Amino acid sequence: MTGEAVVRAEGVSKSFRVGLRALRAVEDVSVDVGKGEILAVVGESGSGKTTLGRCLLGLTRPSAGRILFHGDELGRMGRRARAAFRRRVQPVFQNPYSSLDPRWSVERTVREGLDAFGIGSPADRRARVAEVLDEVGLPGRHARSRPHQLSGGQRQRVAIAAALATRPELIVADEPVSALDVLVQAQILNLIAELQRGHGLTIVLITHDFAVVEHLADRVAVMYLGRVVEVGPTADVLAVPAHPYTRALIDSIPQAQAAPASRAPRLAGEVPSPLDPPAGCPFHPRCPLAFDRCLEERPELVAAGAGRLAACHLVHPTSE
Amino acid sequence: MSALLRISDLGVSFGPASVLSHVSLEVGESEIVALVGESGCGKSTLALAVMGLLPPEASVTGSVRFDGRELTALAEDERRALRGDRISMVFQDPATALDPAFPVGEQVAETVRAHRPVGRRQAKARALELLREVGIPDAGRRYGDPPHRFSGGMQQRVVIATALANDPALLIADEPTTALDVTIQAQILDLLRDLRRRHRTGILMIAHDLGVVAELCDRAVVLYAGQVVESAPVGALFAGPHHPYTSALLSALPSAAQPRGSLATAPGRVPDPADPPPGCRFAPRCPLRRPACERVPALEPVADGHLMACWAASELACDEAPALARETA
Repeated sequence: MTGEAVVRAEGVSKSFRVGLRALRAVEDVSVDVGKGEILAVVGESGSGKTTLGRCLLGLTRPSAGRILFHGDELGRMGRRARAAFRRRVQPVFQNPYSSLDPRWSVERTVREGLDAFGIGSPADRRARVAEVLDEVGLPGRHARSRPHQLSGGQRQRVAIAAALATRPELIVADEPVSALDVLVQAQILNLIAELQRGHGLTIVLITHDFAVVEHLADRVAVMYLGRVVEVGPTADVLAVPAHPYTRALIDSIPQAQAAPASRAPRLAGEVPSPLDPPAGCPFHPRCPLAFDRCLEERPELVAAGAGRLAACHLVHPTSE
Repeated sequence: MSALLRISDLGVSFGPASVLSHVSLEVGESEIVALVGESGCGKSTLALAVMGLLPPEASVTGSVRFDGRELTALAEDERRALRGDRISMVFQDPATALDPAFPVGEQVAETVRAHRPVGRRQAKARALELLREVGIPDAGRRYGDPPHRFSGGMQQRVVIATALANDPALLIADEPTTALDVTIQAQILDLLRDLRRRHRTGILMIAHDLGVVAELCDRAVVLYAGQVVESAPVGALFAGPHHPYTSALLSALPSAAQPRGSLATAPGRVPDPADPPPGCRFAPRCPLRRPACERVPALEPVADGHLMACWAASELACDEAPALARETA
């Protein structure tokens, strides 16, 4: 990242109590997102990517560490700063079937943020709703529709319009296209790219899909069992992954092409339970390259080339 | 290859809504055929029609022959005898396919006992063998565990073990890896590949992920709005030429090769099955639309084993193979 960070996580951890044990969903994560940047957070189920997203949105309070928005700590903001934060940081969730209130019209859903923050006169709010619906490509006649009258793609447009209404700076989108068919997915990805370009929006894109990452993200953070194991510019990370887990994830993606290349060996086993994470490197039980040290000592994130960090004992730290 | 499953001119409608019309396809022994298309194209309806699980209000025309028997003419008890025995199915979400209250091993054993005159002990032995075959570690100890003690990938392995209980000749898999993480998906695809090799099982696989189709399947049948628009060996399908709908599906796949924000996509959406366009059903969204498209195009060969239903097909066949979506390094 270059320039000022819009949002920064510093040593953020979040555990949940499960019975008598602690589930460590996020462990000591530090990332920042620059203005106008799209940062992808990628990982499998249980990697902690959704919990990290909720921390960045201020919906979940970290157990340790802090979230800074333009340098102001989220937990220490006054009421006014907190309200400004909530106006300027907006979520888009995965499932447009459950994230919209089925009883509300499109107009009411999109207007909700404007009403809640008392932005503009009633006439201004109506105008703003029409404006954002136009921007997300939803014909104005749908303003009175209810969610059940819309397709999945149209619902996701409504969710994006609702997020945009208050003119946010930062959008945290959690799997915004994974419930959609490929042609509709392409339309929504194009829309996200257009919004980022047109408004200089900063976007945190949480996804499991590396194809979406490589198409859309400037930088990518790869999470495994609550920790960031690698972060860097998307093109560099995809071309030469520094962490064996990133390599395995990329190799697991089935390729739509005429002649499937020779297959890399599959990653054996599954993600261990975050209730009982392995000692040493959390990836060592599945890692084809693990050696003695990985069983005992957890690798720290170290510089692994320009703008890159990776947590692996096999990475030789670079000076940057 | 002898056809294990031969669907000819199948039509399924619900009142005025025609969900499938004039669908023909074949699955041979140890062949994996993909059924590709967006939601609402009729993929799952086709699977249910083969399984005999359509609701009673569905009206079915045409023929579904399995191993030489006409399935549409069978009585319900005859169909039930086939299901889980000679033909079985794997659904998308393993969590809903398993009974949450019963030990997984017993669920596999029950499927064995439903179709075979075997005692409990034999059924248990067979179930254990199946759980080991699909890669459940420590199967003996896990036999009595309820489904919630298993991860999604392990649950899907149990579902596959249940489907394999009686050595089916035909397996219908409805998006079997969609609910799974990518490293687990890769393991399940290996398992299906292995099954086909060892048991010569024919597999009809519903898939929306074209990467999965390219990796696993021999042939792909592309459905649009309830009709087959293209059918080809997978290699030929990805090499082109394509039906314009297939092209749209391929070029909409996100990748680094396309400039950000300019993924090709077709405008509009799949038509309402109660009111499909009169001619080619894809015409309203098609960049190659021409006057001829107001009439229904026939599914015709454009190359060996490659069928397409498109008035522009002959011209497409002369063009250079269209650039492909994912030219990933």
